[in-house]
Amino acid sequence: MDFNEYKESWKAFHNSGTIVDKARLKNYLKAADTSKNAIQRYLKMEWIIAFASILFFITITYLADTLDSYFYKLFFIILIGCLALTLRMNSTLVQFKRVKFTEKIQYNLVEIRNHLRKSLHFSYWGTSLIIALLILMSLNDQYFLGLNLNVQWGVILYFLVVGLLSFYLTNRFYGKTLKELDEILEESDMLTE
Amino acid sequence: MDIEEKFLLKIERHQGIIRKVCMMYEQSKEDREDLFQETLYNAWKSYPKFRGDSEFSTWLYKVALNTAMYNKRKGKRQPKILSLDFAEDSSFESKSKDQFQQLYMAIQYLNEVEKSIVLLVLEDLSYRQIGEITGFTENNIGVRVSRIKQKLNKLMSRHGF
Repeated sequence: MDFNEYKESWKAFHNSGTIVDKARLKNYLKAADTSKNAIQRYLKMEWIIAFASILFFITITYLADTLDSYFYKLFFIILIGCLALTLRMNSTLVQFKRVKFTEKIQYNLVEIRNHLRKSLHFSYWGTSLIIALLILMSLNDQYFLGLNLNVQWGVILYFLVVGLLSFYLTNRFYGKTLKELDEILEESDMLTE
Repeated sequence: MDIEEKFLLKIERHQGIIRKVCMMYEQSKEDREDLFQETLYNAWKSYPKFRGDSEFSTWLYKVALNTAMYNKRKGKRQPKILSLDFAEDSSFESKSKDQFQQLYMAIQYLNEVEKSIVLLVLEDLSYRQIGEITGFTENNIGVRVSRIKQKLNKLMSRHGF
């Protein structure tokens, strides 16, 4: 394999392509600007959802007297946990959008990989902590202990299944990307801890 | 001449860089067009910070390659490997087409960083310039290039390109 043999073909192929004139480039720029606005709208949507969750929590707090304390504590742990995890994952997405396009390739790949790794660890530890808290809280709650034993097991099992599902989904969405990035950086000797 | 005019003039002159990166990283015409647009947008947003410390072409390679890699990170599904569509390129000799086709198919099996190195080598950039874009040292690039050559040789014989 000699790249020199291919350099001519490479040049010939690209010289034969269509040239985009300035007017069309201007249109491209305008169209891209519009599509970026769509991303910003999407980000706003995410914040509206987070805000709605907080409102929901305030409503639940307001109605606390009418709810059993067990459910109140359950809502509280799940909501705080989900908010923390959502915010952390959202910061990863923001990081993705903040790629420094004029930096060297190595810089961006390492940055994204490090941020993603931190987010994944946070997500795993956060989920484990929420599940552990839910189980511990349930096992110390009089209302829960008064339930039928099968129901108690069912609830604990449910928490564990939700935890495992969360691990699986996090790994599927982010773990695969991280593994792929690690492989690329290792192969390219770019990995720095 | 306003800044947008200046920018568009420079892009018009150097658009080949963006087109080549798009071709290296995307296989369908639509995806290449999307990537072209995305690169153009990112270059435009970063242009006010361009101080001319490096050549415009080096700067544009960085923007285009970072955009292509960022695009991949967005989790788009990888399409199956397609051959190139030469329909509009009548001036391109058939012998060159075959030779180029083989290389292009094999390149699609390389990772993002390797693809960027192949592109820059085919562009006849010096190892110093490649280092400026990728962040590798010149020695390291030499090692990478020979490893990539071995990998491409294996790929071409294994897949019969």
